[in-house]
Amino acid sequence: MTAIPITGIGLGPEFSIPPVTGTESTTGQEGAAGAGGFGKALGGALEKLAETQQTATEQSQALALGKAPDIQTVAIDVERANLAIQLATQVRNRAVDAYHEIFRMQV
Amino acid sequence: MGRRLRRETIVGMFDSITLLEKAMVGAGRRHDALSANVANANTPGYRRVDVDFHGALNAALDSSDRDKALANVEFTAEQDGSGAVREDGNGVDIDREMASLTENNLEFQAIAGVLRQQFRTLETVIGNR
Amino acid sequence: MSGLFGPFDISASGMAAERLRMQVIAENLANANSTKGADGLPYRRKTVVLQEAPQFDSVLAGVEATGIAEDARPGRRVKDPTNPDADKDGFVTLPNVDSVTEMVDLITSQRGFEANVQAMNDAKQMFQKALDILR
Repeated sequence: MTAIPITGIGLGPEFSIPPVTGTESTTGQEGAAGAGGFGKALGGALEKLAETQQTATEQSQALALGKAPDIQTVAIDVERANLAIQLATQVRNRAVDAYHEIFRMQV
Repeated sequence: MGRRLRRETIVGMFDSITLLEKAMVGAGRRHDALSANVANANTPGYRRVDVDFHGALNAALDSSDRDKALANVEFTAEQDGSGAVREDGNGVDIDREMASLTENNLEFQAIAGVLRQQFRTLETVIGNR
Repeated sequence: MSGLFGPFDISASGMAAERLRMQVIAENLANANSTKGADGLPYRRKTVVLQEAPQFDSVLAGVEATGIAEDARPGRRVKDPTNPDADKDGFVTLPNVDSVTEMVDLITSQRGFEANVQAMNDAKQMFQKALDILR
């Protein structure tokens, strides 16, 4: 199974899902979880997702309290968090679809 | 990835929404006060008023029972005693009021925009998007 | 703010007050040289009396004009025997209108009017932005 890294979009580290290799062979790709497999990659991605949400919350709080140093950072952080959630949701949906398809394949 | 605030941050997105909502109310009240200043820019004896909504919110978050303080936060228009006063007793500098109006408007829109985005995030999670 | 549209009411009152002031100033300027009015006396400068108008349940106030006052200060006396309104000594009393003062007041009123318009536009934008949350 070839993995397609999403790093090319350039949205930031939280959008890079480390490519997953099916076997133990390391391919030396950026951020590769190597032998970690799907679970580890998923965990890492979720952690990054949580970070984006936390940052967005902090920035919103700063804005409400008059402590935001500039509006660009706030806007971008909030939007980034929103996109990260949307991406995660799409990935989840696809994963669930794939799961169902696999189970339908039973002989 | 973003500056960390020294103050302990509010946990969760629903609390953030309440804070943003109150901030919008505060900015709205500030607009009312600034409008009153502008309407009375030439009324003899009038002194300007303002609403420090950031101050009120900060105070609410500093209190011991944050949730309650935030839920009950009040934004009061206070008279601003400083500043020069003209012959007729009026202390309104119309240029400053107009600048403050613009600033406040933009701040209101920023807060509303962020609030809207947080709602959208929640909608995505819930599955409506 | 009383009602959904409190801030609009405040700005509207400001606009109305400034407009009235501009009208009165225009009248002053038009009559700057009227040495004899209907009552036989020189024109007297008029001013608008403004007062805070608190909205019912709120501390914040709009503005209202409670009346139009006459400036009682006497006008200048100028020697002009050729003027039909000259008195027996050849002096004419001019209206107590000083065009420079009136122009300054006019500009002040204009700025005030524009500022109220801006305040109303800001209120409108903010209102619409809040509605956007529902979209």
